[in-house]
Amino acid sequence: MQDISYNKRFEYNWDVPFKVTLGESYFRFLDGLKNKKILGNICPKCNGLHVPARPFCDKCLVEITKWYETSGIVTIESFSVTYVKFLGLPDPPHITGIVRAENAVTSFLHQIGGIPYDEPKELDEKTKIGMKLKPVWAEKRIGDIQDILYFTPVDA
Amino acid sequence: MSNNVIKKEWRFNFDFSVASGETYGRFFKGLNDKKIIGNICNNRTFYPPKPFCDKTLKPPDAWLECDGAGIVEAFTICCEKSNGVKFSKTDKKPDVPYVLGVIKIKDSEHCIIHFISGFETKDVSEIADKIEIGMKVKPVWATKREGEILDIEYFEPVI
Repeated sequence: MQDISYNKRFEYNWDVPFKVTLGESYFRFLDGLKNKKILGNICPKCNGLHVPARPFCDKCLVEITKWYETSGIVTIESFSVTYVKFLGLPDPPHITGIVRAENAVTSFLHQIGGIPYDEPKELDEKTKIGMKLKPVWAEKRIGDIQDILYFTPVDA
Repeated sequence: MSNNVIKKEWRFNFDFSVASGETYGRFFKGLNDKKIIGNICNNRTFYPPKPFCDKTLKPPDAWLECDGAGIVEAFTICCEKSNGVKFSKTDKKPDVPYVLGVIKIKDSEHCIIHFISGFETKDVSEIADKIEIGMKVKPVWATKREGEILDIEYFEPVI
C-alpha cells in the first residue's frame, strides 16, 4: 500500500506563445474564407491542385501562381473521434478529419460535425472514409481557418 | 503584395500539474531536509527513487539517503531566454546564460536534470572551459525550502 501522507500536488504549466507570418499564398487562401470561398492553386508543371493554396509545389519545386476556386465539397481521407476534452479543441465528442478538396494532391485537417448520434460511441461507425462533406461557415468571418466552423455531410 | 502578408498569433497554455504519490513525495520531503532520497533493488540504486524497479517490475527493496554529490553525464549551455518556461510558482525565468545538466547522483542507474552553476562568470566560452562531462558536482541548497525540486538551487562543481 502507498503511504499517501507523502503525497503532494505540484502546480506547473507551460504558457507557450506561437507566432507565424503567413506570406501571400496562405493569406489569400484565408482571405478567401471571409467570402465563403475555399481557394486552391494549380502547379504549372504537374497540374496538381493544392488546397489550401501553397506558395510552391513540393513535388516540382516551382512557384504556383494559377488560382482556382473549389466547390467547397471535400472527401474524408481519415478521421479520429475524440471523447476527452483537449486544450483548444471543441467539447467532446468531436471528430477531427483529414479531408481532400476535389482531386487535390494535398489534404488538410479540420473538424467534422453535424453527424447525428444518440451515444457518442456511434460516431465511430457513422463517420465513413470517402464521405462527402460541405463547409459550415461562421457568421462572423475574419480570414482564419476557423471561419469554417466544421465540415458536415453534404446530404445532412 | 507585401500588404497581403499577415501574422497569426496564438498560444497554448499547457497544464502539467501532477500529484507526486508516495515515492516522489518522499524524495521531495527529503529535499526539504537537505537529503537526497533514493531506493535500491538488487544492488541497483535509484536517485531519485522509482516506484517500481524497471528490471524486476517489483517495488524496490529499501530506501536510501545520500548528500546528492554526483557527476555530470551531459550538459548544455542555454543562451536564449525562454519564451514560456518559467520557474514553478513564480513568473521568473532563468537568466541567461545558464547551464542545464544531466546529473548522475552517486551510483544511480538513472539521472536527473538540474541547473549547474557557480562558475563565477557569465561569459559563455569561460563557462564552456570550466565544465566537462564526468565532472563532480554537489547540490547547493536554497535557504527557504518547500519540498520541491528548486530546494536545490543548482549543482556546483566540487573543487
